[in-house]
Amino acid sequence: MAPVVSASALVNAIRSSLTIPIRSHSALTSGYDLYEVYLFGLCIEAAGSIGMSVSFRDVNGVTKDALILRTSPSSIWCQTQQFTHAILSWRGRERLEAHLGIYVKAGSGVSHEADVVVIEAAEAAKARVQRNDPRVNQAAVVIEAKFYSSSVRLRTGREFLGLVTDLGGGPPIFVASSPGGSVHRLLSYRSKSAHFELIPESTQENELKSQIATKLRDYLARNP
Amino acid sequence: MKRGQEAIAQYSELASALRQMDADWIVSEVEEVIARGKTVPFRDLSREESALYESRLIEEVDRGIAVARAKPNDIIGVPYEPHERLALLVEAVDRVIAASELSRSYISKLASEWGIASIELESPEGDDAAASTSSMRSISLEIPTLTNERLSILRHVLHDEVLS
Repeated sequence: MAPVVSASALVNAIRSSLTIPIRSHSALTSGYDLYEVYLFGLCIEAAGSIGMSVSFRDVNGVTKDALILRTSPSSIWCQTQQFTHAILSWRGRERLEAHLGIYVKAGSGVSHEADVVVIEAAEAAKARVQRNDPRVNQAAVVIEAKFYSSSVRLRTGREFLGLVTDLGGGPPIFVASSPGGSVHRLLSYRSKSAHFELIPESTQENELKSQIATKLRDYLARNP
Repeated sequence: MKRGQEAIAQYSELASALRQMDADWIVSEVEEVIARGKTVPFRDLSREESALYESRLIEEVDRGIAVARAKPNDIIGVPYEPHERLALLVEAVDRVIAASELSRSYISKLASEWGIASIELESPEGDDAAASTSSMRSISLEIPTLTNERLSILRHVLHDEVLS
């Protein structure tokens, strides 16, 4: 009979492997927040990979190297905190902005939360001036991020399909840290873009980065 | 591989460890998967599950409902075995820790590459209805050492000691 490893031994083993806690989604510096920042980083890397240059600015246009990023969504024009976004430039012109956790306006006029968005710089600037949410049909990339430990729940897949229906113009990419199970089948059947079990250094990481790079290239081709 | 009562006892110890670390959410997510059960083709049912299927079929037929016998490829819902439940929990812990630690490592390298001095995570506050609280915390940009080695040691504990 194999010995049962005790809870206290497991606590020690897990703690010694961690540099950050694995507490709930809302707890300090949770994996959930880091995962979204990681996906934001993939957009920046993808932009760099196609020759775009990257800098960082706050809501007032001040260049920053100390970033403040959102842990939950707020308006792109929010002035109470100086949240940072990335400016993606192409041949010396500012073309796109990458944001973490902002609201975007769908075709219905309803605003939805978007975890990671790469949006046309002119649309983002207009939204800040008008204190309104940018239109999602002006986005080159929208990522819906899910940090789960176990298979994605079916209701999450259904919610995503509802979101896709309303977002219309810029179909988001569904990205999850865990396996898809029936949600993978559902989204595949509906021809929706989805990546499961995507974590740093996984095969899926390169697939997503390539997909983002292609979307950025397509945007630049459509908007010379 | 631990099976039966051993697997049940080990699952309980790992769940308890996670609760001690305020990681109940991992246990909850796994238990939601366990509650849904899994599906297998009728032809692959275990002897026990086949017997259960037969008894359910007889029960319905006795109630006067004409239920056709399943065909070999028909999909049947069955509960997870104790060793499968333990494996689900182990995989969930492994996934969360690997995703968190590797994300942190990735962010540190990205910061170094793009000249980012610091990253603060902040909850929005104030000017819109959905956001009412604010708290700020830093992501350490010091590149963590031996991430893969630490994950490898943990995997050894989880797979070779907890599962086996």
